[in-house]
Amino acid sequence: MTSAALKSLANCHVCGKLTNISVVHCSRCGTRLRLRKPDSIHRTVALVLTACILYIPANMLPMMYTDQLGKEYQATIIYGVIEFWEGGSYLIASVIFFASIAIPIAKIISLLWLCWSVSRSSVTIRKKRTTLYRITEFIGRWSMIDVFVVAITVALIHLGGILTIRPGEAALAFAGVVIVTMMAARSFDPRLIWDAAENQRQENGE
Amino acid sequence: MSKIACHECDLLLNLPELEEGQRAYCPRCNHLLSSHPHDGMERSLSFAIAAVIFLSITSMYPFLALKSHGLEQVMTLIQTSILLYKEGSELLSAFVLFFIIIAPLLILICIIWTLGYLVFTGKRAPGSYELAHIISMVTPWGMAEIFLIGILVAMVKIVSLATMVLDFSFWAYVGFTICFTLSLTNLDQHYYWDALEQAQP
Repeated sequence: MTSAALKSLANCHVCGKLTNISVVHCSRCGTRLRLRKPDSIHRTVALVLTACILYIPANMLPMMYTDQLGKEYQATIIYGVIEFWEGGSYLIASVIFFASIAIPIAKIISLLWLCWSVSRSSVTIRKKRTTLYRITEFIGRWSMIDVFVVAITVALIHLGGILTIRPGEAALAFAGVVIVTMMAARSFDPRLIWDAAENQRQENGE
Repeated sequence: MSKIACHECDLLLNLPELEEGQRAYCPRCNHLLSSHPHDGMERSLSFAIAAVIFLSITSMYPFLALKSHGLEQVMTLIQTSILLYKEGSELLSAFVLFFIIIAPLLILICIIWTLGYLVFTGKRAPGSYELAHIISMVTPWGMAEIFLIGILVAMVKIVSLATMVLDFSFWAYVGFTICFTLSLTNLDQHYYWDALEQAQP
């Protein structure tokens, strides 16, 4: 059991071909070869912090404005969840709660924790951490549901003065949170989780 | 047998030739290394063509209709993005357009061009590697299935204000989403790149 990097072999991140790193460019598709994603931890942390900042307006500002017969109503993300819950739509309330509130926070925490564990060269629960990373990467895009709900409702409800729904500032901020966390997950390199143990084994001369 | 490294833990492995229907997982981190679906390339191509047909049907007919106090309003798929633009959310409108139409369509065009050329002529189409690169870059941003769930949530949301009717092209978009997903799941990156490399340009 050895990692490709210890044999100076690099997986092309575009086409997946295994080539010696001394070749510099992938012999198949011409991509610049790298053993690991460049500045993985720094980029991930920077993107996660950006997401944290965007998360504040996404939750404080309204997702939608409703103009009904001259009156204006505003609805933030959490207000939308409460509205569904009180209306008896428990399933929809839970879907929105998970997609818009729980998943972004869970993603931010798990990416920060993964970065922290890699930077202190942890060798424990490698498989579990890899699974956590895989879930984080897979689930992130589903947070976009609420943005689509805004887009559909806005497109559908514009009945002039009687009833019109307009997008709020939080919709863009929240789309930003989802996009930036997806980029953060992609810039994290899960191979770093396994490198610490490999290096340790090599130092022990195994 | 071909030598590969796991994309998620970098374990150096010998990947055996897979039988049709078999999948290979990394023994160390359990990452799906490769799968060999029955007639993967042909199926991926057929589903991609079907998806494009469904999407063109979707763009021609009304998508959703709204009934409220005797008023009826219909909207098309593209209006989801256009109305956001008109309301002053230009950037958001561009994102939505990209996620629900442009990204999936871009992926499908790349699949049809590269695979169609490969399957029918046995040769590698010009620009295949670049287009294959685009497919893997854009795939996470194609969000057709998430948009469908969004429609269901929106339906419940406005039920107190008005009735939402799923129009003809909504069902075409459902067909599009299914075919788009199947086209991608039948396209194994490992076999796809190897097939492109082995074909004559």
